[in-house]
Amino acid sequence: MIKIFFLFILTISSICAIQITQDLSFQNIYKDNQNNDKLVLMLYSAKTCPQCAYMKQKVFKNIEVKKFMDKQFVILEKDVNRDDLPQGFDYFGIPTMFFVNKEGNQVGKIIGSSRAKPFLQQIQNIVKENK
Amino acid sequence: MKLFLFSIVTTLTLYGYDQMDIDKLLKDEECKICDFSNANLSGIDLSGFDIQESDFQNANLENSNLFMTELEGCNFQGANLQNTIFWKANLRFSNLTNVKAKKANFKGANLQNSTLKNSDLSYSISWKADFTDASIDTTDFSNSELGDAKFYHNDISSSNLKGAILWQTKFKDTTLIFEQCNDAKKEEALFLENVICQKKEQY
Repeated sequence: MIKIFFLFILTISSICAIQITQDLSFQNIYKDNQNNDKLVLMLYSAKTCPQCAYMKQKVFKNIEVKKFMDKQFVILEKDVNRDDLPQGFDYFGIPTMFFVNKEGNQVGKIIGSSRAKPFLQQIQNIVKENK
Repeated sequence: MKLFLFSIVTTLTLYGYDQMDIDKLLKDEECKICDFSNANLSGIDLSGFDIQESDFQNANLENSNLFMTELEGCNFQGANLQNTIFWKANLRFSNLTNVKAKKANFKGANLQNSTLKNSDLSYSISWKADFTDASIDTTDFSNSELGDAKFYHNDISSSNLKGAILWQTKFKDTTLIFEQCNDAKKEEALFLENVICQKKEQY
């Protein structure tokens, strides 16, 4: 029964979903060419998700992580319960972080939370692989 | 004749589980008070199944998916639960003694009144898990994620919390050792009331 319910939700959301390049908030990031050399870190979260809050309030605010993130990414947050989610960015649990280039292609993905140090290593690897 | 009977008893003890129970489980998505002891159920999707009060002693559930599964009163003693998903599962009154649950996912799971003894939950993910009234003894929670989890009426002093994420973890009527208390405070855990921080030597 649970599987059928999730399958139904997934089908409905896929039908309604738009391409990420059609998403207004995504378009605005690259609008004035200011962020051309940056990737979009699209964070899927929800108000009721303590792991998401931990990432936002603790890990993203770590001095080294923040410094690196400010230089390399623009954060685009999507509330999985409220926002329209773009097509092709499926998730199982939250937080899920998608790393997306200007063309709208997914170039990396991190699922779940972690401490600042291993997280920094993961995002450094994603940037390195996409240079 | 005696030898024959002995070999049958030995075989049954060794393999434990009843194949009919496994067939029923996979067919009906339900099998209460069933015997899966020593069974190899690794990598199987059992999400949403009703398996309460069943016996998984020494079973292999590595990489299996038990998302939102009803597991109240189950016996997992000695089971291999590595990388197993217990997300939002009901594990009330379950016996998790001697389990190997490294990297298992207990996110939002209900572990009230469960028993954890000599269990390995290192690197496990237990955000928002509820350990109220759980009996916790010499359990390895090192490097696990216990953020927003509830520890009410527990004694964790003999367990290992080194490197665990304890952000917003709630402690109430709980006994810890000084080192754990200091780590928890640094991690911004919430000491609600009657949290005892004592010397390790007392144990």
